[in-house]
Amino acid sequence: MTGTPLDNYLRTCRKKADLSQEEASRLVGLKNRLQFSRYERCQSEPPLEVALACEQICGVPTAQLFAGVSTAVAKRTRKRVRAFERTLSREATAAAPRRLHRKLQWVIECLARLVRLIYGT
Amino acid sequence: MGHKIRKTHHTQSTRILALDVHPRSFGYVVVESPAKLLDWGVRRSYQKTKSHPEVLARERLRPLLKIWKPGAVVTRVGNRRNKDVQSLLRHLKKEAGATAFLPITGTRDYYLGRGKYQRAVEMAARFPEIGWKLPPKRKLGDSEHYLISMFEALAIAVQYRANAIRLNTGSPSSTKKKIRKPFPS
Repeated sequence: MTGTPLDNYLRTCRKKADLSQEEASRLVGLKNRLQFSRYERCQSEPPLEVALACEQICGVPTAQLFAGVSTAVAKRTRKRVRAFERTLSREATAAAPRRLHRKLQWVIECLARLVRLIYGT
Repeated sequence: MGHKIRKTHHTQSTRILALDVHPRSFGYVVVESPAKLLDWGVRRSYQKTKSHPEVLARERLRPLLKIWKPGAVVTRVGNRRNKDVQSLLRHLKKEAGATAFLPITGTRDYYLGRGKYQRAVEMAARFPEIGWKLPPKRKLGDSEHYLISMFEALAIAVQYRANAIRLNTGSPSSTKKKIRKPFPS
């Protein structure tokens, strides 16, 4: 709990800009502040359009703004990529070894990228 | 210079909630990593009843704990003999529950020769995002501006962070550390 990032840092960005919830919600294209408040309290996740608007307004990349969500997605993706890697390894005897080699190389790069995202190294 | 702080396993990445407690209000800041200020403000109880401690703990502190999920709640105790403050501290501790509730006392350099306003000015310079909120220096007879409480909470957070780093790195100054008993519950 303590070392892990929060789901999002919308509240911090809003307070740094000294915006009220009402003003911030209007800026990101929401009708009222209630939904924005839910996003801030991590009770729901914003759709892509709102997330991008938040990024543009706050000037912080989405992955940093929604750090907790980003990490959780990265962990799930890593699991899927590992499963894919295992599938590829099983098919190692199949035809087209060059193509397989290329895919395995990509998998290794992808896993390294995901580890960097998760552990922030 | 004895830094009276309970040694913890908290690292620099711990998110902490620092409180500056008053009988009917508390200033708070949430700090993450070395100097990342997440949230700040003052929470007050406007009720005219005698249940200020309960209101402050249940309705003002609980949402903060829910949003920020701090690893530790830090407050400065000092010689707080005011019954209201003692009662509020007990309620806050109860509310903080599983999160470590760490009362710390100020160091010598925290108290000697530097007033609250001077500390607030220093904090405002260090954290420009809230620097503009620094109230003007009060004149003789004026009561203290309520926002000073927020800067005081920030000073507590900074002090806690500095002490934690000193203890974790095991510098010579930490050899004479004393474990402070928490305030009476």
